[in-house]
Amino acid sequence: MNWLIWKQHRKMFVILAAFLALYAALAIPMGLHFWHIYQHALANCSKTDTCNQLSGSLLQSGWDNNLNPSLQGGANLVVLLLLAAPFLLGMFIGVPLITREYNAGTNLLIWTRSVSRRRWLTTKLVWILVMTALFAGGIAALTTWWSKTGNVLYLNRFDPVKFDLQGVAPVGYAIFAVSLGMALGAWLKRTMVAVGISLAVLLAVQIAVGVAVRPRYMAPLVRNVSINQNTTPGGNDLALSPQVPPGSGAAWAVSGGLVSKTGQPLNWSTPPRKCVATHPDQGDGVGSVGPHTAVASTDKGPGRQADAIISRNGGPAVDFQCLNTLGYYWDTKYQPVYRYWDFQWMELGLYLAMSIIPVGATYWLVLKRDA
Amino acid sequence: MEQTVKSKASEAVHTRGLGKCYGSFWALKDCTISVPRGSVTALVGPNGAGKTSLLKLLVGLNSSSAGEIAVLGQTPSETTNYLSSIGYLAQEIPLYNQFTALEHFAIGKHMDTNWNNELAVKRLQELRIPLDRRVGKLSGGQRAQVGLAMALAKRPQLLLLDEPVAALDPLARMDFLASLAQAVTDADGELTVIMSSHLLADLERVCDRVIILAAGETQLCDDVDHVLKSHKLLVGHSGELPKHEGMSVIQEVRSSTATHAIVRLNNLKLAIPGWHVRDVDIEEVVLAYMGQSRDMAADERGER
Amino acid sequence: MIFHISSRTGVPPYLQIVHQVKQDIRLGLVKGGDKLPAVREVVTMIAINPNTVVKAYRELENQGFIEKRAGIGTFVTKQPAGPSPDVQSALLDKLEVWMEEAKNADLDEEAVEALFHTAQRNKRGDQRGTDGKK
Repeated sequence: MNWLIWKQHRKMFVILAAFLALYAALAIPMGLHFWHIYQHALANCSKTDTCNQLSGSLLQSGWDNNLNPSLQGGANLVVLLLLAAPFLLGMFIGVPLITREYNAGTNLLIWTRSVSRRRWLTTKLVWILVMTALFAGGIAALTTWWSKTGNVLYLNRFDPVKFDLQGVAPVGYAIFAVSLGMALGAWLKRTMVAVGISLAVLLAVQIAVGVAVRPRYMAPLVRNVSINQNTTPGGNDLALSPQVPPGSGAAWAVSGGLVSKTGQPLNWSTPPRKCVATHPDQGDGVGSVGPHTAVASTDKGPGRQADAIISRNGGPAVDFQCLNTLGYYWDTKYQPVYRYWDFQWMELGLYLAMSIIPVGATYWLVLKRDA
Repeated sequence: MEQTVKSKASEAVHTRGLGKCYGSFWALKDCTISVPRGSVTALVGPNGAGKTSLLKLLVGLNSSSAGEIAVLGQTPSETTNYLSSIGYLAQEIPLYNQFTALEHFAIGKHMDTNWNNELAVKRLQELRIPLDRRVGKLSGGQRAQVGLAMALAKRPQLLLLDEPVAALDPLARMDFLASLAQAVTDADGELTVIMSSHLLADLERVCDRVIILAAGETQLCDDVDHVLKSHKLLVGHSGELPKHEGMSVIQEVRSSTATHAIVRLNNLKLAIPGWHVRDVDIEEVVLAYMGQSRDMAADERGER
Repeated sequence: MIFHISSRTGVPPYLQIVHQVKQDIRLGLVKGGDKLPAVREVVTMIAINPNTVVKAYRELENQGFIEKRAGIGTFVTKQPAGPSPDVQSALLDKLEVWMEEAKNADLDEEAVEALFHTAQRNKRGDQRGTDGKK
């Protein structure tokens, strides 16, 4: 039976291994390259004591405007592919695994050897899921390693896209995707329909988990910061968090915004009339106020005035000094960076637990229904 | 719901009142058959009669919804023990198109307990079928032979074939039936075959037993020789055929001048005065039963 | 020795083989002591059920036309039952004379066959009467 798995799927295994090798060939030199630049810049900046401007100077030296070490344009495509990898695995490995046999009728050939249907399915499932886990784990490990520089520099690996690509969670995504593909294939028996539905479901689940479930793995910490020169627009400033050493503290802002003395969130469309200004700021409009933004230690430098005037959401311009005197403050809920690995393991656990449903469904659909 | 029937040791297959439903549709309603060991049985009937359902029940792929079934003394199941005693070739001869015949045999070697590789290889070599060409590139007749080899090299005790020659040209068909007959000869009484087919003329030469299935029910299950002896065509002047208790009318056709009737004689020595008796071949008998079943179904629906 | 099975005659295949063997013996195509093809040979030649061949050979054995010699094969018996070739040859001559008469009377082949079958049936009917089957 193991021999059959190899025989039927060796092309797939070889292709996956080739992709992994190709990615390694790209990622390892790149990662090394970035790390050396960073180390070099670190060595230089300590001489001139400009290390807190490091990311800014690296930006000037050509890294992309997401402050990511980038492949100059090809990066977005690579990131997209990496994000899509689990979905593609589910669609093009999970679904055809079962539908191909049904469509060709070969299920009637292979189930009437001397091996029971249960053993056939179990062996297939185990091998395919193990291969999936190894592939996804390999890709994630390479991505994690490659992103080391960026992570150290910008402390943003808790961010949605970066969280999805690094660590151990991708293994969970891949296993869930392939399990779901198999179950849909076993249920619908038609490849294209099953592929379409798996894509839709996987996307929906990924987004739902990232937006609504992940922030709640642990109760977020709360931090309230008054409006002052270091906390003007652009920021939920978390560098001042007592738990995190200055210069390295960025966490994942789950939610945040300006809140009144009584706890009411500021409505940018209808701010307190008293604080409506007549001259909107030319402002940098850096960052947006809301969840899922994390900005590192303010690199706007000291001297930024707290009397900035900003408008948002098409509403009137608001004077921050005025808000401050009214008692408004920044209310931030965040997940501190030291919880990153806890969250990774919990997300992996969640996806593995979710996978039990499609795996069970596959068993029931294949074994219990008439051939 | 399955119960094992006390079947005689000489019977390869024994069913009683066997039924199979898919949802509310009963593909097989009241199937009672018996097949002696070592025989070659033809399973005939119109499309949708339940032939494929019956074969799948015998293989053990599906479980029955009613009645009793015993194959080789056991209840069919998907265990290694049972599966290794059955050989099955499904309709449309499913094979892995990207694999060669040799690779298919390797599957057999790894997944069958009694696989005899030399037998399979020799079989194809005698027929001059290329062993290292992808099966998807072989002709229909060659694929059928590969499929047959996959089933036979398992060295089963019961071989179940679902319309194996349906899509084959006449020469390929003859080759297939000759291969099958050879395999039966070589097995020296240890191999029982049940083969479903539409092509009745071929069946008479290869099969020594016939089962007629129509609308999910058994119309006839008997040795071919006995069928030919016991079924006759009666020709007479127009009018009703007299009822005899030694005879059942299967199908009666009346015209203005004559009446033709195919009957089954329960008493072979019965003579009916005034009626001319002619022999019939198996095809006419099967057609008569199938016609009878179709007419009965139409009656039930109130269409006649 | 080549057999030929016709599927539309209503005659069971095994009987067809029996008739063909008997015919060949009568016509002198197969002589006493000749070996009949083995079951597998027949099956390979014409795709038929081996049981059919076995049954036919058994019937021929019962009627005394052939005998089985263990380990060697099946052979035509030295003294085949039935009339000698000379008798048959004489009958054939008579038949040819009759055919000539029929042709002169403008009987075509079908008419000849019909007459022949009628005669056969009549003979069979007589026989049934004498055997008391009713």
